[in-house]
Amino acid sequence: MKKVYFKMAFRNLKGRPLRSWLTILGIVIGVFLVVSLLSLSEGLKGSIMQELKTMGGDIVMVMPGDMNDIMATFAGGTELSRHDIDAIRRAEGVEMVVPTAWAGEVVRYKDSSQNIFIFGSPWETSVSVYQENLGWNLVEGHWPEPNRRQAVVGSMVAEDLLPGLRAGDRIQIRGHSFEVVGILRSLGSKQDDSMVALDWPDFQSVFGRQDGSPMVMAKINEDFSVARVEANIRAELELSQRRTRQDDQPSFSIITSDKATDMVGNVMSLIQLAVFFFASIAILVGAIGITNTMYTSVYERTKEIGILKAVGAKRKDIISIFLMESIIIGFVGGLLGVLLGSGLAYSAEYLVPQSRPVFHIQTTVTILLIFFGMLFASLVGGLAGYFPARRAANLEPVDALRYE
Amino acid sequence: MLIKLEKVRKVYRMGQVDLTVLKDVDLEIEAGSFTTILGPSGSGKSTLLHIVSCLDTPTEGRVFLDGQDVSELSGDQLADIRGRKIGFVFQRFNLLMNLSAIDNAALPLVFQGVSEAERKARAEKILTELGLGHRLNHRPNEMSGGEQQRVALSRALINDPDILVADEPTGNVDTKTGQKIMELLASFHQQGKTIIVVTHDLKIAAYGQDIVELRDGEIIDRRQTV
Repeated sequence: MKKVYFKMAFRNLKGRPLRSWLTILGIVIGVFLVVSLLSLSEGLKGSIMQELKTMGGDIVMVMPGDMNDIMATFAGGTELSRHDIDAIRRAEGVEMVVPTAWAGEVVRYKDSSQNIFIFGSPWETSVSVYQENLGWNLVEGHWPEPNRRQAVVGSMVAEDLLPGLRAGDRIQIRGHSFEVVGILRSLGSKQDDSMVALDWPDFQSVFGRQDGSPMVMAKINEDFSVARVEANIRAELELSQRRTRQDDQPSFSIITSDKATDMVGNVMSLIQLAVFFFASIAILVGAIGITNTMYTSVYERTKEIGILKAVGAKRKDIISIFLMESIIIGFVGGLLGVLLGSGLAYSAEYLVPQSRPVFHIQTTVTILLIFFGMLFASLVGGLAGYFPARRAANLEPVDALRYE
Repeated sequence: MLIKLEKVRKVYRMGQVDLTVLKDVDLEIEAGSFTTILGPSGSGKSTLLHIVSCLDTPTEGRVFLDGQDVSELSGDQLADIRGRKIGFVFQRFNLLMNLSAIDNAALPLVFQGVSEAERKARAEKILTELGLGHRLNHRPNEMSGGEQQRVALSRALINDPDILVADEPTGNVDTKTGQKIMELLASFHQQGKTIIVVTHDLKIAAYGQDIVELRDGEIIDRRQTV
């Protein structure tokens, strides 16, 4: 493609700035959506995967509800009862059982207060699981003891959320006072790093809860295989639920580390596919805008095409000039869309934690996505401009010259 | 013999009606001649010029250029011939409004694959020869009609074509400027180029050595002045 065609195309676009920018805007919006939404969902996927990775291979999660109805399980507020927890504890091969629960709540420290993710589990059993299986370490203070109203906080709580907080300080949650005895080393996930962990009875009294738990962690004895213990837990739970609830259809899910990774991976891929599909519709609309502009341009420049042909321009020359114009539109739209999209994705990373501490998004704008965004937009520009360019190239020189 | 037309017929379809613009025209134009095609509007003179200059093809009949039958060549093949052998001057100059004088003049070279530096050098030389050395970077709308037509002439000459065709080249300029343009064409003829000019103006036609008079698609008279 000759440089001069680029110059001609560029000059033509500059000659009608408003129309060019409006057409570019159509592509900007589409690419902006693709890049920002894909970055955010990629970040979301990364955060969840990171979370799952911290869960060791010898830990299984037990949750209420059928996993095939996973959204209902997360949203539903159902819990595993005390009987269920006991049943899991009874299963052969289960070494330790840690019921957990969580909530978002305002935490006060001196003059500052922040809405923070609160996590509850019995120190009695959980401390060793956290250290040995989930890789928790302290940078300051000591591990908490059961029933002493002691809390442990994530690294970001002390650094960002409640600045100045040290081990030995006291924090207030819903009027209950706790001693912060330890500050965790960063766990590599913003969500884990910005939580306050409480003892199980404390969590229950603060939030007025019963003995149930929305998620129970079970540590597997190393002499047993994960699959076998999973089967044992299933058998015990089914038995227990039939007996205690008179329920013919026991409803719970056992999530192993592998299963969870697969599941999240699949769900997120589906979400990303859907996001991409809908954002692509925006790009398609932008492409129609390009086609429309280029047809108008061919129509307006019929005489010019005649002149170019009269002085020796061939079909491919005319096609090149017009295609170049639509590719420039696509490329500039792609560039701006990528910039705005990644800009939004990054600012979301900073804005979201302020308002929703329960979940953190770590934006992932990959080079591949940027490259793809621009290449895709240029390609869309080229495709959208092809038919108008072909019409221009097919004009008969005499007819075109006669056009006024 | 440079150009030869054999029984050239051109028919336009206007809705349901066929309009015969050229009726079995035979014409021969010698290399190095200065031919004017004279006729009132609607006589078919512009169509004849378009066919002679490979801008259009006949409905029937044959056109030979340098002994080559060009009547059934493809659009791209004709474009190639136009780019190499023929220079065009139009009544309304037909310059590209968003290009400077130098870029307009250099335009045909773009499609011949000539480098930018050479394009600029050749365009500047011709424009300077035609007295536009001080207007190289001006756009057409910043120039007078006479200046614009000289830019168009530069464009027509930049490929050093064998044939220069002009369709009413003086139609959009005042008499004095028109006269200058015709003198320029005559000087190109002196340099050995074949000149073909279409006009409805007898005075302009008189510049030719070979005057072909056309009416209703037929040659009704042909006279040599030299």
